[in-house]
Amino acid sequence: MNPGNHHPRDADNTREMIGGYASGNLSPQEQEKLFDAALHDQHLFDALMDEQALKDLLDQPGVKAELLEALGPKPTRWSRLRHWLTSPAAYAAAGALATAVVLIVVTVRQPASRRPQYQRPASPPAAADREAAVVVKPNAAPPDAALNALSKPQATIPQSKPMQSPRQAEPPLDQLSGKQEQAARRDDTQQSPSANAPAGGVVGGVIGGVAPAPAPPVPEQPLSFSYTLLRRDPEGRYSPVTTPTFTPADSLRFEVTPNTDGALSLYIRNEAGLETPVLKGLPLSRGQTAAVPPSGSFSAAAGSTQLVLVFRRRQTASDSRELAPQAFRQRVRGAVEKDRAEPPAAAVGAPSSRVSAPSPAAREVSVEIAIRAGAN
Amino acid sequence: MSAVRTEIRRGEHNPLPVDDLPLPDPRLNPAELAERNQRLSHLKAALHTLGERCRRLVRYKLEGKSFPEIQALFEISSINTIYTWDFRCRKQLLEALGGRWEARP
Repeated sequence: MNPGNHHPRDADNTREMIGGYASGNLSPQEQEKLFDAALHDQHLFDALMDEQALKDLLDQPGVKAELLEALGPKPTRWSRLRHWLTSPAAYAAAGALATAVVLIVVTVRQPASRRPQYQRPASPPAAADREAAVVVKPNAAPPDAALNALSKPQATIPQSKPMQSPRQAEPPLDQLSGKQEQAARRDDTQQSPSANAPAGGVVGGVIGGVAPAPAPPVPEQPLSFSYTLLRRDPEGRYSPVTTPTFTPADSLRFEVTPNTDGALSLYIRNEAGLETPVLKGLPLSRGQTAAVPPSGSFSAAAGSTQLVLVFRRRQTASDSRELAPQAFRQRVRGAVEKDRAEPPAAAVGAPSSRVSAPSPAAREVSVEIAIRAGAN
Repeated sequence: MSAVRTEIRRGEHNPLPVDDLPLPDPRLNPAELAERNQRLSHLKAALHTLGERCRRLVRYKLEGKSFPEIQALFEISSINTIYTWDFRCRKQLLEALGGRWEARP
């Protein structure tokens, strides 16, 4: 206790309680303490008497309400909003709004962006599915049965007779030589669906959810075409080959007539096995006789040369690609291949012949004509 | 006879008419009402001169909150601090009113 202080600590606190007397905020104990202190302190007693006037005013009905209204400033919209934002209700509303926005965004965007890619299960596909798939399989099927008959070397060119007699079954892909294997791959891609269908499912499947195209109707008539080898005479006119003698300077041309609409390609394979496309994907109409090539001619290099004519029922993508030199598979040995024991002058067979596919389902038929040209 | 004596003893023998003895009106008379309004307006003006803490403290007091409750609202550890603040705010308000709670005549 500080002796120099007129108002001990307890008395100071008591004096400070006087502010609660007029507004009625003192508890009964505090009020009793204040009154008790006032009895012993004249200054405190006088102060209490002065507070009585304010107490009388505040005790009147309605005064406190008017003072409260005067104390609080009129809340603005921003102050009320700010007050609401700090309340728990605002947090609950914000959380609900954020959840709703997230759900809407996820629901709207998911079907467009996260649609899973449909991948067909590995099941036995239909015929059309096999056409769409990229399958490399050995060809051991009958479509080449008729063409197999031409694999045997023959001394003469058949005389306008359809080559439909079966030939030996071609060896599986893994038994072919390197060049033959690569040539087989090209042809295998164009095989009919029934020839190349794998045992179970499509290799690689069909990705993208594309519905398989329906299988094309099987034509009644097998694919076939007739061809005639022409040579330009000194007068500049092309006429069927009558003699088996060729020279590298001879200008040669084919004349082809298919029995259905399709595309024709001509390739030349030299002794080294290098194949050069002369013509790719020439569209032909049924019964149309076309010159191959349509303009100009080709010539045979000295030595053995194999001319390969390939006719497809409709033009495919492989015709537009740059074929590897060994992309062919030797499907048919031309019936015009000469006996090698004879002198270098080429022995070419009959000027014309006809090639037919063994079955109506075959989409491609080809013939390989071996010729020889002596040095000039 | 006993009833008469009881009535006389209770002072009920000479009743006065009500109209002759009007009851006091608890409401303020016009003069008192005018004085009240004047004091109230002075007090309102003085309250606007206080700082934000004093205004907030006076608001809590007018709302009927006790000092411990006011202490909790201000988040003050010592109640003596509230007493001190109240004493100072009261002193400022009194100075704004001219040193007297009553309006000068």
